[in-house]
Amino acid sequence: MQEPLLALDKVTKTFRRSGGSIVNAVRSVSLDIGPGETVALVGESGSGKSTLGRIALGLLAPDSGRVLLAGRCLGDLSAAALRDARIAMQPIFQDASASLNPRRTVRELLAQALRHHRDSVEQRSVDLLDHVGLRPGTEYLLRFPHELSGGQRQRVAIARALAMEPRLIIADEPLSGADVSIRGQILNLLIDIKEEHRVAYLMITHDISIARAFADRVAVMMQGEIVESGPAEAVLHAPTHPYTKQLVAAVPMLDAPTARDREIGDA
Amino acid sequence: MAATRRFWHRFLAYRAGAAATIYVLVLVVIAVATQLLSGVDPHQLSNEVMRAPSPAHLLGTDELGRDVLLGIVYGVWVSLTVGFSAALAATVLGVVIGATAGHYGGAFDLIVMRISEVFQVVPSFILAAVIVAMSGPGLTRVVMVIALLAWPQIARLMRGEVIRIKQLEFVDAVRCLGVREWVILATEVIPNAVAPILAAGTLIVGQAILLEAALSFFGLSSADLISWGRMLNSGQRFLFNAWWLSLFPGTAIFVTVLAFNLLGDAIGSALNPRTTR
Amino acid sequence: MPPPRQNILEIEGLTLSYRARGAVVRAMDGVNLVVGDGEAVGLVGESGSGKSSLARVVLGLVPERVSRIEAGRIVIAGRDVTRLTQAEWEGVRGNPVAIVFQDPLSYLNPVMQIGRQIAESILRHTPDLKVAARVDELLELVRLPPACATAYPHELSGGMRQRALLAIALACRPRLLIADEPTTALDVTTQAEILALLKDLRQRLGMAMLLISHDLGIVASACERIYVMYAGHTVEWGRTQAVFGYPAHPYTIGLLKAAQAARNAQGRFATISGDPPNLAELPTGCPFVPRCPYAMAECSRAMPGPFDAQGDAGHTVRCWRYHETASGIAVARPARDAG
Repeated sequence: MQEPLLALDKVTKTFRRSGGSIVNAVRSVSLDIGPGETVALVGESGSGKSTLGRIALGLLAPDSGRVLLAGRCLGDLSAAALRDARIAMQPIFQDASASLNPRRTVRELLAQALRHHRDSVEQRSVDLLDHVGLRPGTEYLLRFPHELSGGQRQRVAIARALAMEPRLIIADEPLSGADVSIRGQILNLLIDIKEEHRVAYLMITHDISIARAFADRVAVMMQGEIVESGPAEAVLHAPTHPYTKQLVAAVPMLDAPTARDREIGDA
Repeated sequence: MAATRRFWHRFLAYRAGAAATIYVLVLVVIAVATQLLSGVDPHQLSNEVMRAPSPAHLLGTDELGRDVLLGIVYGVWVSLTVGFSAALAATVLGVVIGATAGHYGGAFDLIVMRISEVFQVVPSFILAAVIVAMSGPGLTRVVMVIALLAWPQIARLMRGEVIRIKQLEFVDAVRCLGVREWVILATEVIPNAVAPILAAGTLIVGQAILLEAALSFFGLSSADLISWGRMLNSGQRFLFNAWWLSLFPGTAIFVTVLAFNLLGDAIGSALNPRTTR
Repeated sequence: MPPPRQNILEIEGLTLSYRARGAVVRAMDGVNLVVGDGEAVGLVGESGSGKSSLARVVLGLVPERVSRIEAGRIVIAGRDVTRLTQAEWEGVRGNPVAIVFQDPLSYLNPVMQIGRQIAESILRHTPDLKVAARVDELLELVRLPPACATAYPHELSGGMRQRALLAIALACRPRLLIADEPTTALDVTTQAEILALLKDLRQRLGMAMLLISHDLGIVASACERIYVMYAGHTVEWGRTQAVFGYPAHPYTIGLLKAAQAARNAQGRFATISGDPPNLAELPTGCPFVPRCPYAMAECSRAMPGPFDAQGDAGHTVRCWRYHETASGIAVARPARDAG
């Protein structure tokens, strides 16, 4: 069997509230992501899905359990080794206006990611911007995040992630801040990136329809535990766990195009 | 650069800020001029003692016949030197201590914050007066004392900002680019805390000027320096028969402190990249 | 064959502008919208569509210093309210028109018990009522346990806060409830509960509702008629089945396709090209031109229509080429009965 790119092995994380009560954010969660695979982590707020994302990125150490990136346990690494190892995983956050330093221009933001290519930062930046659909890239270099639209900001965040040539992109609600009409643009961009660069995705989302259409596999999280997982179509079309059923039923859906149904009032 | 131009554009939109800037710039020019020009002696005594304001002495003269206007003009140097040096020292101290405490937390954070609380609950003027009285007067000592009293304000502010900023997503994003922690602190976190710090630092200039004046007023400064506080001190004895000896130095202190407060507000607003106005 | 009932809200050709940094921005431009008594109407739009400005102008909540109604009028329950003073607006707010917002926490007083906040709202409109009984009644109406009367806002979950806000709004016995993104901050399961509650309340109280949302699914499942707004213009409206089943405006078509989050044969997601409109830099003519696959020279000259889409009575569209777009592009229909 192929070795998973990222493996979470019985990961647990608890937080202590200021009142002293203990919150089990993540409870013994195991999840594998293979190279080039797209996995959606679905859940509602407070389900622990974002905490799990931060643990996967190595931004948060689990209380117990292991995070294995290409077979290496992040917890065993020195600070310097962890820094180098997790470059292979890049985050995309929900709100690109919060994930881009408001004081930096697009050029400066990309230069941070391209700091090992000092001689060719300018050219690489323009190429990256072109690549994520901000064309011509030179037009965007001197702009500040607040001078861009929400969709454009998210593209800049994606360009910065791509600069690190990641093998896994962990996207935490990357579409929640975007207008419905823009979502398709971002999703298509993510698909292009996957095809071109063979990256794997961990897409953290509350949106079942997007999870279904975008991911190969889906894991449903509730109160810190993964209650159901499997192929996206199977899990979300024929859910077995009561919570998944409830979740699927709660979404007000628009039906896919049906052939000329004439339920409409006569003209 | 675009950011710089934008800063000035916003800054000047606050008329009070613009007026305060002009006022402070004039003060700086005066302070430098009094140090460069020779031949004028503000200590010059004359026979025209205790004269009310007149065309010859616009703001009157004191009990030794010294010109009040000349005294106020020469007092600018002391006030600005004390104000700027004390604020700079307090800000540097506060930023380093506050940023370290906020970023690394732990025991250092706990100890620093308790110390800063001690400084904040003790009335600063009394503490300053005691320290200066024990160690002896002198401009450098006054500056050091004021800086020592003022750094906790900056440190607490900086700590709060660092704690707020370091949990923002863009810091995590940069962390994922493999940037070292101290580089993140220096290039991502601290620059985003500059606006409130600069604003608070400017307010400290005002506080320092006020504290220096107060110390001088109580005679806790070198006798050979001309300072607004010292002028007030000698003037208050004649409050009822020579009002100009108190009013004009007092006004100079008031307006200058006010100007630095307005300047601090304007800087705070203009530096905030998200302020819309 | 429009319903013979009276209209609780009529907006005709309303143009609202804001002054911001020296520039004048049109948040609404020639907006037409009608809500019949007891009717559930949906208003769909994305950022910059002007939908939230509409919610606020109907309650006189737009800041007078920077905004101006340039044209058109607002009629509430037969009364022209376009030029009311702030004092006169007090007679409109709460009753006959009440509003609930997206973020209940910022509209609830954090240091006052929920029951007292409801009671205040009751007393404002009927000072001599037996308040305690009515508070209990309202809590029951929004399906909150009676114990919530003594709770503070921070002790409640997001869904319960929205119910509390709803109870405060209902205390005034409004004839029209404006719900501005009432479920956007909530989880899907909680959202479903709130939507079911709104539907139930409408039926029990015979109250009209204007539901404002960016989520087409929500609006489709809860409303009888729908208005679609883009860049301050109402671009298409009509019965839900007509607008979502046989959309005629290219924007509505694009939005419906995008909202389905389904991939086509090439594995692509449907999308509308370009960026959301910038109200400060709108083109002349139809504001959708820069993103429209059907745009032609004529479109940049003047805002078209409104035209009768000729599929369903009252189905209206503001697009020159509606007859081409409408033919056969049956994109979607609401999954649930719009009842």
